Amino acid sequence: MNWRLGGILALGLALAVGGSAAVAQDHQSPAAARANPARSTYVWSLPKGFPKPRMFKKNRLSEAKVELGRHLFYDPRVSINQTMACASCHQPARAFSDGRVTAIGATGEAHPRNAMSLTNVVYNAAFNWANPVLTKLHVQALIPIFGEFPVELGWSDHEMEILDRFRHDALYQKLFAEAYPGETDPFNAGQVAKAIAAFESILISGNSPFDQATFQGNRDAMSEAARRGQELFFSERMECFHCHGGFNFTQSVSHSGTTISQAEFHNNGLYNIGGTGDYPLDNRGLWEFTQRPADMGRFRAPTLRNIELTAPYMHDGSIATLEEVIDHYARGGRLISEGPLAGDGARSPFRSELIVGFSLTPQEKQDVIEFLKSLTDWEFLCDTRFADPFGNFERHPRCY
Amino acid sequence: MIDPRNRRSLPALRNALMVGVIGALAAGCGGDDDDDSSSAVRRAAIQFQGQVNGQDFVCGATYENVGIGQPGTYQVTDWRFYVHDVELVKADGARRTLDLDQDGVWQYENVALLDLRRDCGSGALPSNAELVGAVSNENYTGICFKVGVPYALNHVNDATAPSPLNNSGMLWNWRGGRKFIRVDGMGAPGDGDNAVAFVIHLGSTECPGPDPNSPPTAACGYPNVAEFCLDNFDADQDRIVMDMGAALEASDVAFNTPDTASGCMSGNADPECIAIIPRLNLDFTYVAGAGATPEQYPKVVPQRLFRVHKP
Repeated sequence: MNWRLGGILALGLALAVGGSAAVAQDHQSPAAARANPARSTYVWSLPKGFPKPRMFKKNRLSEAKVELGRHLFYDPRVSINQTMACASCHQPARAFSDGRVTAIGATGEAHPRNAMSLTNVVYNAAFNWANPVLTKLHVQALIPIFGEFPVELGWSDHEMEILDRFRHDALYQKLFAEAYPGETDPFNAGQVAKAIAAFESILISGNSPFDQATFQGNRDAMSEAARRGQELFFSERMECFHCHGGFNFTQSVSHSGTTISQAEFHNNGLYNIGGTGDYPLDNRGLWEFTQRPADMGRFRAPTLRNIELTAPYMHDGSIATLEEVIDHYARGGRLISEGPLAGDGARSPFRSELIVGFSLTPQEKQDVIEFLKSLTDWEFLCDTRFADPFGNFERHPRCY
Repeated sequence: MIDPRNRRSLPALRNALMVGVIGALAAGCGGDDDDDSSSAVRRAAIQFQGQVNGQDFVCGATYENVGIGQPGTYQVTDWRFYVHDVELVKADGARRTLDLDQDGVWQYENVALLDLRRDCGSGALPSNAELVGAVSNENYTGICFKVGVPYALNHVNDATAPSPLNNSGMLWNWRGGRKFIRVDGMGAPGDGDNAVAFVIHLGSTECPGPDPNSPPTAACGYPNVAEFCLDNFDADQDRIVMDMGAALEASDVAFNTPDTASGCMSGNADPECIAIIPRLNLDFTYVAGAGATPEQYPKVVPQRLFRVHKP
């Protein structure tokens, strides 16, 4: 079984594990709900201009569940050898990414893909880099928990051992009881995943200089250079916004007002091995699900919010800086001139129609980068609601 | 006539209910259709079909003899468009509004999204090839509709807009509004380096405003909303065919001017639009660059983008 099948297995587990738990949750006793009404609900405080996130009947948010999720997210005891928390790959100081080319699991196994930022993850139309069937965050959370190839958190065959760490901890007894009132035994993988997903859902970033200028009437929040870069970003010359458009700077969004599936995947010309359009064996994107030639190398365009802090870039972390990302799109694809991956991505038969290449002056390129940096939201990055309750994972140095 | 933009969902819903009740009564009366003939409104479902040079659109298929270039092969991978102000036309020319059902998905107020992609993605996509609503119960011989989104609804925040105006793939930006037509494709597909991305994205251009993420401060210089009227149309039996072969008949789909948008994205400085926009029933003004004299390319009449297809 490889890591992708692990995802599918986790999907099955979600149904098996989550099914009964959800019933219990939806039928919590009135007495329990009355006990602490403020913590049994969650009230969104959304950035101006933002839509309300989707809600899932099987994982209703509550303050208590978010708080449990925050603890689990930052707790290394959630991994088999107690070395790694969710936050190890999704560090708050890096807008919930890890700075590595590709991620490394708790037991040292390398993941083929770059750890994604969790900024605004609640608005994703689909999760992971290219998984069209994974559309619920609490289902996604089971993949790093149970994934075997590679091992991420390493729960497979060790579920009870890991759950017992929380079952016998006074702090978690209280947190689980408040998050899942009325449930006799909420210590199971399904409820762990739901709590983590609840916490991830509130990681909403919408107060960057761009937002202040766009939604809050403060035009001066963006520099002149950033404003010039914005014009370029939204021009037919660069075409950035075709895949990174809309309030979340990705077309692949979903929220409470979404009625038509918007899970999009694109080939952005990173590889064209041997001129066949092929991608490396361990990273073929949507093709892994469909085996349709046209889906080779198609990945989900991630949000560009806080992109300044989430280097390196691309699904395999193969581009180190924003400058190089712009060079990549300017060329219209990547040329790899020698070695086993040799080929010109700009000539891939599967490259998106919307990637055309462009030329920018050095000043224009700098302006586009300034615009991308205007999407960095320091209020979000420094928000104590999102911080590690154990104090192990620091926020960005600028927050202190 | 009531401006459809001022209409809200209630009348449409009421009409739909009324028709439903009348339909039920008629059915219950065992063939006595007095009630039916006296009803003020009737249901109508207008069917659309995508074609390229007379061949049905299948997502990802490659069509032959498209345009004037060689090899003239064209692969289509996306096909969506908005229409609004749909009216059925009587023999005397009088028009009656098709009151679109407010279905919360494809139709909002007087606007509808027609989405022919169906099998473009991995697995079936939701698709919509019809306009559904209620219209005054009279005899009609034609239909008129506009392609695009009316100004009042075109430049709203995508994040909070109602469906189908929040369709992210049809969004340009706040100032520019929506893509009215989105047909993505590739000229000379599979022909190595000769393959060229060639898309048609129609929308309003020259919308004034300080930045792309604010609504325009005044009407767009080129709204690019065209009305199409088709005669000899029977709403109960006929289909409306949209044939992109007609839009591309004067284009070389295997060539795109370097450093301009792929195909035609409505830009007034894009040479590929000269052959395309006039075939979308719109006048086109081409401006090569700063200081250049604008060139006028009037719409090609009669339009051939849409036609009636009899069963």
